[in-house]
Amino acid sequence: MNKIKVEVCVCTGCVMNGAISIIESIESLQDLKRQLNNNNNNNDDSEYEVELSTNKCLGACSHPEMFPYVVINGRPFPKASTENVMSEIIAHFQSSLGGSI
Amino acid sequence: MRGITTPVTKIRRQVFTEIARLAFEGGDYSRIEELPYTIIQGELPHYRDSVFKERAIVGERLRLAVGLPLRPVTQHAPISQGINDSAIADMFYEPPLVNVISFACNACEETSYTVTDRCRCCLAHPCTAVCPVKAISIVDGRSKINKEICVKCGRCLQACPYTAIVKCERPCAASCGVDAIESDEYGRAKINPDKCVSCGQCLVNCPFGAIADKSQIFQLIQAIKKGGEIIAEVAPAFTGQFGPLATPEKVKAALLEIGFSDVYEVASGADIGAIEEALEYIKHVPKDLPFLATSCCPSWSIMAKNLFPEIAHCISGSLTPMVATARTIKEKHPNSRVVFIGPCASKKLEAMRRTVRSDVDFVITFEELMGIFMAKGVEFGDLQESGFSVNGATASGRGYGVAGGVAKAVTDCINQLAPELEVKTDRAEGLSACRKMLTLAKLGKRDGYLLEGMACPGGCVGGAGTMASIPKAVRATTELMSSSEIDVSAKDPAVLEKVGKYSYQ
Repeated sequence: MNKIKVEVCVCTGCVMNGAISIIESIESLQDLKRQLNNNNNNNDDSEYEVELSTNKCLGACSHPEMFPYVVINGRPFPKASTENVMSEIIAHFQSSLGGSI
Repeated sequence: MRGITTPVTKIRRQVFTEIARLAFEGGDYSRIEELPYTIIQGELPHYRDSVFKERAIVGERLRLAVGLPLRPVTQHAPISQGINDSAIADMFYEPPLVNVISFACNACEETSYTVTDRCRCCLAHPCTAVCPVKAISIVDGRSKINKEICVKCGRCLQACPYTAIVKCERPCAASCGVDAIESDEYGRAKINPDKCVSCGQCLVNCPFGAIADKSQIFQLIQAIKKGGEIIAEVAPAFTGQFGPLATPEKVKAALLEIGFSDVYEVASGADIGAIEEALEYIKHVPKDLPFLATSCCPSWSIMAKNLFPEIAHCISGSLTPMVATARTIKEKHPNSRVVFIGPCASKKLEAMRRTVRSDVDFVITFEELMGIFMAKGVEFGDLQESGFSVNGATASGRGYGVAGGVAKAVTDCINQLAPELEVKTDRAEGLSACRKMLTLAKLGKRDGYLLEGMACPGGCVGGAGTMASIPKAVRATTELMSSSEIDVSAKDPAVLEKVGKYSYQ
């Protein structure tokens, strides 16, 4: 089992600036995973798991320049966007699976 | 684009936050001139060709957010012009509600059909055969549509085996169900005020952020600062709108923290409305009315009255949930001021109707409220839950915000009050679907029906002033509904007592 831990800050500022979209984009990866597995004729969908947690505040509240704030496997992503969060998660799994999902 | 946070969304929300901050701070409001520089920083453009233009557009948005009209592009005027007149603790509004910031508009081409690179110049080229006006010819190895002749019937698009023909629409016009988007002399969008029903869909669907509506947050904050009893009534769609930490209890706690003295659910007014519409149906359909249409969505009912005057009398005359709730509040708290907080642009106009003006004092959206929370530094994570069950609504009332919920609530009430009746229902979401449904009704094809119309796709949860995506908001609504003690409005003795008590007559 391959796990990736994604924490999304949901303080007021982060929610105002797209935290909800980021959460939904991470959730949407479940469908993408199925799609990618089908493309590769790979039926084992237990290979990786995204552990998503939303947090009261990851420390961005008082720093507007950091909204929205996401931490992936301990690495901070200030001013996160759906595209950089999703690609980071996908890249993580691709590298751990030797380039193929 | 709905449910996706884009730079347009962020600017819109930042404008609300900055205006809320300005209002709370008070003092010299000509400081509004500095805000475009707070919102658009740096020397280089971020989204458009010039940083000056970006700031000018934000300037117009700031004006609309304090309720002021757009400035004429051809005359000098500071952003702050008129701001002291608008800094009052009462509703401040001059029409129109929904405005196109003309120089922000991209002047997108009106609806057209275009042949793309996918065209293989096939032997069959069925596109030419189906065109009723001979607008398609083969030029340089590709089908070409002569736009001068094209009547936009779309047949070529359907006939092409390579999906090479696309229909291009202006996103504002595509989202407008009443064909209110026209063009000015420069090809930019212009809203026909006689047709517009203020649903607000164009303002959330314009990818250039060129359309915005006026807000009342500036005046509401003046009222909060002035003190007195200010009571919030939150529309059923509120749940799930403010992020994962904002449980219904915490939304209430947050509203109390920013200065509201109490919070009511509009769902409780919806309960009264559901029973009244059920009684109306039982009494009049099919005897005096061929069908009954719901009345809660103001854009839908205005559209129906404008475009289908011959069946306008079939729209229910019952109080809308906003007004019913406001009247119950004012009965208990005669000196209070009532603020409707909802997903909806057009409720801002409903509250200005002569019959409603004394009931609802301000109307703001969830997104605008979030700007106030942001300005006040309200963090849902730090709030204590306050208990929302004070005036617990039924599941029927709480379901009003989701498409289909109103028809279900009214039908359930009819079944409860007159079990012998068999009610047929039809419903539509989005004004263009609503028009189709009313066309059928006008032809007598919906006789005996209860019709639900919702101007926004998805119902109120898809309104222009929402924060959450529709599926998330639907889930949150279902959750709140399941926490209701009573499932159907007509089973709640406390609601039955109020029926007929607050009506327009």
